[in-house]
Amino acid sequence: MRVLRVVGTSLLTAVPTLILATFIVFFMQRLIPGDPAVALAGEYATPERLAEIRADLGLDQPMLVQYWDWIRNAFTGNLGASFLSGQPVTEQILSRLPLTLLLTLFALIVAVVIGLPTGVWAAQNAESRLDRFLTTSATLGLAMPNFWLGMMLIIVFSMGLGLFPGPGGPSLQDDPAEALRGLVLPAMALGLVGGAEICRQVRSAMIENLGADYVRTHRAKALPESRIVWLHALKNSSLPFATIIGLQVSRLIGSAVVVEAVFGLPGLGSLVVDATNQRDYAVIQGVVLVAAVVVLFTNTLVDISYRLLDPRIS
Amino acid sequence: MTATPTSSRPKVAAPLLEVEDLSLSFRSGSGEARVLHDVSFSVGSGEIVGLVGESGSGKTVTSLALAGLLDPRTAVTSGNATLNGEPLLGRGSANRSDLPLAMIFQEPMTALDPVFTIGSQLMETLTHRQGKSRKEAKREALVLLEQVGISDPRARLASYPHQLSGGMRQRVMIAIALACAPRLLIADEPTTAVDVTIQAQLLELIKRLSVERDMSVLFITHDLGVVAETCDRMITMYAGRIVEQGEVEQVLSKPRHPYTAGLLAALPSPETRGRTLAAIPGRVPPPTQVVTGCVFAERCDHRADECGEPQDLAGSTHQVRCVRSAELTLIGAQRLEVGR
Amino acid sequence: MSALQKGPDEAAGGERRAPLLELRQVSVRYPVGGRRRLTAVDAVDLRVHEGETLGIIGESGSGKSTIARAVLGLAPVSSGKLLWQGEDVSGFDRAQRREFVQAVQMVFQDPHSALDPRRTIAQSVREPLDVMRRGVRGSRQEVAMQALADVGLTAEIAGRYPHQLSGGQKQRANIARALVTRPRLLICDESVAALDVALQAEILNLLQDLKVNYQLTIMFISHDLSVVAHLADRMNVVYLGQVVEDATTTSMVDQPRHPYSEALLSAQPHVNLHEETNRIVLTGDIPSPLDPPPGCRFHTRCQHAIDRCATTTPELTEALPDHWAACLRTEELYGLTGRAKELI
Ligand SMILES: Nc1ncnc2c1ncn2[C@@H]1O[C@H](COP(=O)(O)OP(=O)(O)OP(=O)(O)O)[C@@H](O)[C@H]1O
Ligand SMILES: Nc1ncnc2c1ncn2[C@@H]1O[C@H](COP(=O)(O)OP(=O)(O)OP(=O)(O)O)[C@@H](O)[C@H]1O
Ligand code: SF4
Ligand SMILES: [Mg+2]
Ligand SMILES: [Mg+2]
Repeated sequence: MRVLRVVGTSLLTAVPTLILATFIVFFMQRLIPGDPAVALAGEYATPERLAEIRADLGLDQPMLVQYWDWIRNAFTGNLGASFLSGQPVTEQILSRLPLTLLLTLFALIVAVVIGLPTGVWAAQNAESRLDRFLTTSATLGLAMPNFWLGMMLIIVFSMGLGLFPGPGGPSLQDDPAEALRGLVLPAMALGLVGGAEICRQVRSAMIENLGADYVRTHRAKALPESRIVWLHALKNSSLPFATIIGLQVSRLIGSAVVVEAVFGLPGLGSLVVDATNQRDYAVIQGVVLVAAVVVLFTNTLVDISYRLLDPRIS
Repeated sequence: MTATPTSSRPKVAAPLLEVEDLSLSFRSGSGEARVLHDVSFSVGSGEIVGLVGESGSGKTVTSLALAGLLDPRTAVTSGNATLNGEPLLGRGSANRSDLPLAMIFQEPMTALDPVFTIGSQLMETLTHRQGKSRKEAKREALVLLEQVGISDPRARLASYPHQLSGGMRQRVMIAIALACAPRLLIADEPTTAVDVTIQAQLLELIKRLSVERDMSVLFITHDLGVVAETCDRMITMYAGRIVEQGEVEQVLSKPRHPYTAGLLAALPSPETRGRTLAAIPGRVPPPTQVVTGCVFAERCDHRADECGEPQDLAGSTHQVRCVRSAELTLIGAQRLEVGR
Repeated sequence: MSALQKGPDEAAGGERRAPLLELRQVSVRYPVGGRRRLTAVDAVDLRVHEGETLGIIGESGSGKSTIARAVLGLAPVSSGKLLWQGEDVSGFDRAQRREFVQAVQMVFQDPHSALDPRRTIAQSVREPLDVMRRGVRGSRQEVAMQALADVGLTAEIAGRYPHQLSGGQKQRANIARALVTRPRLLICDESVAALDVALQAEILNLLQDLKVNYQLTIMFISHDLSVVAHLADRMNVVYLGQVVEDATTTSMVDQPRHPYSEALLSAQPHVNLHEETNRIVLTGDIPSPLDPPPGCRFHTRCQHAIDRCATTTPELTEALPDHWAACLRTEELYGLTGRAKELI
């Protein structure tokens, strides 16, 4: 019941956020220098031809009208057609979304699998040599740019050791198994940095909790230390953990753009990069909307988990 | 709502807890700070012993050392402590679960795990320490909550700590302690954070449980009034050393150490209205300061040359660490017509 | 108020000067989520006379600090009047307001968090003057140093930072800061609660000295009965936002006329054991102020409660000369001289 209410309120607050996000993008992209009509018709098209194209695309309408038309259609699932190819944007996005989502999910798994245990170990051995090694590694990890890490991974594991396929593998639809294998390195490239961040956050939350009075109580009643750390202190650290996961999802989706480019993956990232180069407003708007929906959905999940994890939040 | 007749309980011969020459230092970057100096005392079976002293005198660290709760990376202990013949010091945190020892703390707000229910915290103690099944543990948990005076225990099992008042939380802490089947309960200022009316309830409860379960209590407090009304014997600590110990009755009515007398004289009450209280000037020497003679000398009104010599804890039942104690007449509390 | 239930002053013979500070039917309601209101202080009447030390005592959450905050204008007073020397504070003009603000100062409970860790003690103590831009800077410094000397802190300590001071020294510094504006009323909210007995004794002695030297009137808020009884001339016992008993300290301690005060007094542990240690142990906790019991607010925990107590709200009535209690059964229980337990 409580959960239902939370979902309800989260969704209600999500709608204005979505509208605001798309609104901003809608107007911001108009600020990118260059004209879609010119991009489409070429530098030397006649003014009449350009006007015709603009009318076709609806670009001659006032901006607010354009926005209203677009948002109305978006609610029915129709994101319009690409300015360039004329293909429906919804279709284009749907064909590329699974890959990006899978990549983000894998990256998140990598981040958690690396960040959570190392964070806990570092906290358990705070100020020891192990801790210093882990925190230094985490700091280094945070400093590494995704694309550089991606290239390093390609050089070592793909070109060097030949363990994983390099850039430009088959698409998910053609050869799922090979495509998944192709996701391993990009997921690592994305997830390692997230893992470093999670490690640091988990460490500081766990250090605080392991020094808390209630932990002393658990120790006084001689509970096994493993239970105190991995059950009690960890559950108490779950709020910062859930928060960082929520932040990571937004960040991963953003970074996916870059990493997809490095690995030549046909995901949303490469779609949006191409669209930006060609001033394909319809596609950019569509991708931003979808990304915003994913991020808001994750935040809703995080919100719900808060309430489930901490009884003090009502 | 019950009236408490002050009861006198039979004194027991064999001590349950014996502490001998317990010393403790904390290691840090800037060196070692010695916070306990050869602390020796005992607690008899079923006895309630009060441990008093100003803030920083070493009451809490004494209890933490006994309960094995000090961080071995920074705390260095030496000396001996046995509970029912079993050694307490130097065993890892691993094998403490069969020791009949439990502890409760000052802050009922933070001492309970905020994200687990009362029931699960109580039951996990029973399943882990006494190997009970979940079903047995639940039954036992209800009994324990009942015993500590929680009304509607069944509903309370599902409550979270923040849903309880301070007094109730402290009762739950006591129930968790009882789940350890302790012969010795260490209570570190269990009533300092609650109101007097709740304090009165908790003191009653602790006294009752001590009698019913023949449980000894090491009762840490800075409130001499609480000691007077709760404890059989008392220990006064100053700067990490025991300076006086004996029957509460004797120590309070005829203190033999100027520090204990000073604490008594500093107490405000309706009778002291309009008068200046006898404060104890100065401060407790920090743990890093090396003192050869009497540690209290700096602040003592009765200081003389011989106070510069090292002092021993002397006496049989009423022990005192003060060379001049025999020649001093110190004023104690007016223990009119007492009957504990 | 009916003819029977006059304020203590009118009863004590009319001609007395107006109290320095008076609260008349003051209520404070805090908004707490939704449309609910928490009545932290409920129609409280309170008087502090010039030169007097008034003790306010009650359990946690009874509204003691809220009363203090209401006086300082820091709590939302939803009804009632605050009178300063007989004049309504709400009608003050700017100059009068300024004077009032300087005349009422407060010392808080926690000696540690009340001082800015990045300022020296002298700077912190001077701060109230700096804020009010009183006099030139040099003279402000002089006033601050004098106040520090008066609370027993040397010039050397004045140059230190809070973390270099002991708890007692910090509390002295807090008191000095309250003194620089030359207040007439000093409100001490649990000002010795965080201190050890020895330090507590020092601060209590200091307050008594300052009271004479600075001609202070003190409102001393505490949950510790022995401290209040030591310091205060008069005591007000509050329970769930209401004053339940108001009497001189001697009268209150010797012959409480409200079952709650009696229970509080008897719950106080004491080193001097007397013959009669028939302790009254109240059952249960203080009820939530969000949903206070009807009738007498104490009836849920009162051992003398009868049916009527749950429906009729008792008002402060004079039970003994200049001794006021809000209990329906005062006379029945305590008669004119005896104590409750002799009747049961
Ligand atoms: N973990 C620690 N590391 C270093 N020093 C410590 C540590 N814990 C306590 N101390 C020091 O040990 C001394 C004794 O502290 P302890 O907490 O036992 O005092 P206490 O008598 O319990 O005081 P209080 O009444 O304030 O609780 C103090 O000087 C304190 O600063
Ligand atoms: N800002 C606020 N908003 C809502 N409720 C408040 C606020 N401040 C205080 N209260 C409530 O008002 C009531 C009285 O609080 P107050 O702090 O005055 O009590 P007190 O007698 O000073 O207690 P203590 O002894 O714990 O200091 C309490 O129930 C408290 O929860
Ligand atoms: S009015 Fe009734 S309930 Fe209230 S204090 Fe008096 S006897 Fe007790
Ligand atoms: Mg302590
Ligand atoms: Mg308060």
